[in-house]
This record gives sequence, C-alpha cells and structure tokens, in this order.
Amino acid sequence: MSYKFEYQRSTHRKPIQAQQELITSTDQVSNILPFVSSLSNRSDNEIEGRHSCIPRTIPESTSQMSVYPSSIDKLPFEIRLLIANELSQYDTLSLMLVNRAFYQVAVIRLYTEIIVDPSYSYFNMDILSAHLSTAYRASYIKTRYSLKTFCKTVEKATSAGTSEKGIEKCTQYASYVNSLQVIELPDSFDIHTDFTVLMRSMLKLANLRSLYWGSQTELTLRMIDRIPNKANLKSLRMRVDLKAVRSPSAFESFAQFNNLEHLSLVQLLKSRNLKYIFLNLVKDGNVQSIYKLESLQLSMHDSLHGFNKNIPSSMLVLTQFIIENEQMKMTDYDLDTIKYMYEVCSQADFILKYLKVLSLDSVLVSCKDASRLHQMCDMKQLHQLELKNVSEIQHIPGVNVPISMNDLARRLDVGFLKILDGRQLENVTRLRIDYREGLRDSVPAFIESFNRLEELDVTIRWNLTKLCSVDSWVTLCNAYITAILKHSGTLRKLSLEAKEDSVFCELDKQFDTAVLMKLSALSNLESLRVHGYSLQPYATLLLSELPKLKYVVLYGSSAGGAPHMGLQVVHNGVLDDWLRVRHVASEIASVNNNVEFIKIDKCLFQIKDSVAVPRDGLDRWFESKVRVEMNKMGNN
Amino acid sequence: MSISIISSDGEPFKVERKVAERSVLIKNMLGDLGNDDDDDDESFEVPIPNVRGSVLQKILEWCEHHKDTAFPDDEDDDSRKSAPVEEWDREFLRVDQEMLYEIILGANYLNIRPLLDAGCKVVAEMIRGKTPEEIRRTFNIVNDFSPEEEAAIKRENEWAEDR
Repeated sequence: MSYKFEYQRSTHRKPIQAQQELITSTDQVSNILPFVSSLSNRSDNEIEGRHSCIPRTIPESTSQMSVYPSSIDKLPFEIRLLIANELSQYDTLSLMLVNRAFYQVAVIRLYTEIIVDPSYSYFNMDILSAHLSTAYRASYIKTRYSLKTFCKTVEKATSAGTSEKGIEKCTQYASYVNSLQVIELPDSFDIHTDFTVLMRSMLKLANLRSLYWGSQTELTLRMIDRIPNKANLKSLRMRVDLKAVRSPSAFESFAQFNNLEHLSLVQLLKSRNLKYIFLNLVKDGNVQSIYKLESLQLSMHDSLHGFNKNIPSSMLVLTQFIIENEQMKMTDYDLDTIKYMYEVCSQADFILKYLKVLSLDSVLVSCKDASRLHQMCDMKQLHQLELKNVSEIQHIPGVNVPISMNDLARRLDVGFLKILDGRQLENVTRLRIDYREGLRDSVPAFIESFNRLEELDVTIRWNLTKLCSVDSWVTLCNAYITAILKHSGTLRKLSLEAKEDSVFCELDKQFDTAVLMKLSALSNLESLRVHGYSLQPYATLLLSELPKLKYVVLYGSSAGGAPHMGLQVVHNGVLDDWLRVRHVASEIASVNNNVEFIKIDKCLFQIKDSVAVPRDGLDRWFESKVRVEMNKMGNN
Repeated sequence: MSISIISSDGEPFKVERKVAERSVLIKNMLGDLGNDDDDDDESFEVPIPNVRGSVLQKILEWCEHHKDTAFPDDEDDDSRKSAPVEEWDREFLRVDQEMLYEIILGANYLNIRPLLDAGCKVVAEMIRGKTPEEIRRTFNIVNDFSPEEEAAIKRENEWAEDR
C-alpha cells in the first residue's frame, strides 16, 4: 500500500477511492517508483499492501479481508480501546482524526480521566509513564485557556456521534468523564468568572465517579450540591470551604452520596462539621452510603499548607489547676472528632468493615478514642494508617494543686497509641506517624508493636516536657531507631523526620549522626528520607551500605552543606539551586549504582548513567515515592 | 496429562498442561473438568474455533517461552501498565500487521492478558508520534470524515494539546 500512497504524494491530491482504482497492482507502482524499497517503514507497508491485494487470488484464507478496506478494522472496539489507552493524550488527538472507528475509542481515552494540574509537564512523561498507570490513561490540562476550552467542549455533543446505521447519537463529551481531578487551578484562573464556567460544566458530568479537589481554592458546599448523580460517585476527595457555614442544613446534599468507597475531607475546621456530614450520609438509616468505605481521610486543618496553630506542647496534659489558672477554656479543645463518628456509627448500628486506609490529620485524641476506633471499624482490615499532626490530650482528674511534671507524668493514663495497639492492626503494612504528646513518648513502643511494616513515615516530635520520662534527645532517637530496626526484614520505605515545637513555628531538629548510621541495617530499603545536615559528612557512607536503595531525600535547608556566601548572586539563574548541591547528588550516585533519584532539599536529580540530571515539576510524583501518603498522585 | 488444542482449520497442537494454562480460558476449562495432573495417560482435546492454525502455532510458541514467567497480577493495574514490552516479546511480535492483529484477537479470545497487552503496546508504538495522515498511511485506513467534521473535532479537542 505504501507504494500507492507514495505515488499519491508525488501526484496531485485526489480522493483516495480514485487513487485505488488508478493503481491496480503493487508491481506497477514499484516499477514507477523503484526507490520505495529503501523507505524505513517499508516492511510494514509491504506486508500491509500484500494483504489487501491478495484476497482476490486466495479467498480461502483471508476471505473476510475483502470486506474491510484495512485489516486493522477487524480489531473489535474493546481492543482498539486497549490500544488507545496505551497512547498519550497528544497521540490520541491524532488518532481521533484518523477515522470514525478510531474516533469512538479516542474520545473515551481522552475524556475518561481529566487531571487539571498546572505543574504537569510533557517533558516529564518519560518518568511518569514508566512509573504511573494514570500517566497514559489521563488527560492533563495545565493552562487557563485550555481549561476554559475544555469546559466549553464538555457541554457539547460529540461531532462524529453518528453510529454505523446512520442514527444520530447525540452523546455529550461530558458523559465520558469518569474522573475529574483538580490538583491545582491554573495560574491566573479567575475565581469569580472562570469558576462559574467550570461549575456549569461540572453540572453536565452525569457519569462522574470520582472527584478530587485538591486546590487551595476550596470547594464550597453549594458547589458540592450541584454535582449531578451523586449516587454514582464512588470517590469523593476534596478540600472544602466550611469557614462560612453556620447551619446544619447546609450539609444536606451529603445525604445523596449513596455509594461512596473513598471519602476524603480536608479542612473540616471543626468536629461539628464532620458530625453533620456523617449524620447526613446515614440519613434515614441509609447506612449503605458509608458502610462500604474503603478509605477515609479526615483533616481538621491541612498540616502541610496554611497557617495552623497547634496547641502548645505544655498544654497537652491538663489538670483542673492548669485549666483554672491559665488563660484557656476546655472548649478551645476540639476533642470530639472520633467521638462524633463513633456515635453516628453506633446509633445507625454498623461498623466500617471494609476500611483499608484511615488517615487523620490535625486531630486531637484521647485514650478513649482508641477503643472507639476499634469499635467503629474492623481494624484488622486496615492496610494503611496515617496519623498526621495528631495530638494526644491527657486530662488528669482530681488535681487542684500545682504538682511537678514528674508527678504528673506518673499519673498519665496508658494513652491512645497503647490501646490502638499495632498487634491488633495485623494487616497494616504502611504507617505514617506524626504524634504529639506531653511528658512522654509512646511512639517507639507503638512502632515496635506492629507485625511487619513495609513503609514507615515517622516524625519525631520533641518538646522539653518529654525529659520527664526520657534521659535525653539522643536516648529518644535511639528508642525510635531500635523500634524501626525491628522491621528491617520488611521495610522498603522510610522517612525519618524530627520536629521541635516552638512558639510560632516548627523547627527541624537535628539528629545525632551516630544514631542515623544505624539505619544501614535496613538492607531492604528502596526509599530513604532523612535530615541531610545531620548526616554530614557521612551521607555517602550510610547510603553506600543500602544495596536496594532507589530514592534518596536529604531534606532540610543545609542538606547540601552550609550555604556558601560567595555563590549568592543578585539574580538567580533557573538552575542555580540545583547546581549548588549537584556535587552531593553526584557523590551519592558514585557510591551507590542503584540510586535512581536524589533530592537534596528542594532540588530533585535523576541519575542517568551516573550523571546527576536536574529535574523539575516532578515533586508531587516523587513525594508519593518517598512518603506514606494516600492520594498524593490521585491514585485510588 | 497431555492436551491437544485444535485450531479452527482442524490442526491439532499437542502441548503440556503448563503451556496450555497460560490461556486463562483453557485453564478454566481444565479446572472445570476437575482433573489432577498426576494422571499421565489421559489426553484432552480443546477445540478453539476462533483461531487459525498458523496463528495458534505462534501463540503457543509464546506460551511455551513464557511457561515459567511470573506475570504481575491482573488486578495490579499499575505494574502491568507501566511495564515496557520485553525484548523477546518485541522480537516475537515482529510479524506482518495481519498476523499481529490475529495474534491480538487470539490472545483476547484465549484470555492471555500479557500477550494481549504486549500486542496492543506494539500497535500503540506504531501510532506514536505520527500525524493522522501518517497513521492512515501506516494502517491503510480511509478517512471517513468530512472536512467540516474534521475541523470541529480539532476545535473541540484543542484543550488536549496543552503541553
């Protein structure tokens, strides 16, 4: 066939039908154009040509062939869809224009999964497609213009919607959208005018099954109310704007979400908001709605973004005396998050027995909450547990006089983590723990209590009150490391961070280098994230002893060494930050051949043939590789 | 136990059970029969009415080569998707388009997911980086859009050009 088309190219363009009549045999063409045999795609086309010409001479073997103008047409719809799903959105666009048959599958490929992400870059496709199944399945939108065009298109009927029998099928583009993820809104997106356009098109997404809204511009309850076919939605993960919500009736639309499997609510602000949402979800005894939940993420505040003031570490253990003498009220403490959930579950008489992932962010807990969790969920099903910036509040009754911290420490109850008990969470393999408590630290014992952890993300919270029960910071670190090393046979991912509470902010706390060096016993580790400055200058020594290591993060501002004042320039070049720390990445790469990616503070390097190549725009993906975090890349 | 797989044109292929079971379709059939593989005297005939002898031979060649390969779980979409086509598979699938399609169809019918995936990836690679016109030329496809339709499709899906 190539001969025909080569021929066609060299003559004036004529309709293809005419061209085919013009040339009857391939021999004829190769006589005219003898050079065609030197074409690079010769073999494909030669064979292709043979097949479409042969049927008339050998009808037995390929009798079906004569019916089709091209042999690829005999691939059924579902296989063509599989092929389209292997293509990037740009190749899909080309495929779309090929013919009607391919248009049908290309539309599905292009519209099923939409991700709005301004930091997406085509130049990172090589990495994303090799590591992420969504990379080739989803279509990305990064600019405001494209988002607006998309919104306009979504409201339209598809252009080539005619089916084979010529019956006009007015399928809207919108009906193909299964999943919409807004990771962040594009730059210069106008909250007032563009938002209404976006919302209007959202109304049309009748087959939406998954919605993720991670943008700093929160989704308001009024917009949630406008999601069509709420019962279709299996996954609802969003940052909500509840700042202005006053009355419980505002949450009524939640009663219509009847089939949720993944629920993630970020920035709930108050436990009461959560209570109303849950009450509406199980309205009229309809426990169907959350009964099937597989993942649940609740965050009072987003501990990663925005300013949120934690309760000072000195106020985590309370007595009657402290309450009376300090400028504080018990009502400042929002202690009811888990209690409210528990109450809703027990009143509606069900437990969350399919829950696999549980994530709590910026929640206050007490000892009783652990047993409530055990009663409201089947904790044996849990695979992943995240406690981010969770603070334990101890209220010691019957103390009306000032007593010393050491006395107070002796009167503490067993605590939330002790009751939660890793031994009972027998299937948890991924743990993230960032836990604040006063006077003592029960986290090492908690980490040790698990059967087998594969991924661990620990933030050690240091405050001076802990000196009541531990000798020193180094002793505490050693306790953590001992607990972590218990899992050395299974641990693949470790992120180890330390924070010191301060009045206004959290500071990175430095580790003792000798303590960190003990991590070399974790021989199965594929990903390691540690404080860079604490490891200096021994980072290469530690990293050379971890044979399976693929991803390395040295976090902290001095991870690449103390800043060299002489290298500061007035106008920063784009890669200046990378160049300053590149030698650290190169050195690590030279001692460990297995390492694929290294991040030094904020600069990510890919190691290609032992050369450290700066990479940009991959932070979100890399984060999912090195930390224990649900939904970071929007994978369900 | 030996298994004889019979193609649509009546050609029988004798293979060991392990090779035949690369096909989930045949595996389930054999599972339904509830046989233990200790019994060496028994033989089974499995008719495959949808696949021609020459194609079946090719597919069984693949099954033979991969009889001990551990493929990622079907459920695990992530690892299956991201895996590039293995060098041997790529070489194996270096056949004319007609044969490639029939192998894909056969793998689909016999339910051999790794072969189906590899086949689709190879076709996808033939599409990658080409203009619509080049794709049509590669696969000998006739454009059945009117110029107006073509323009409308281009306009409506312009957003996806966002690089």
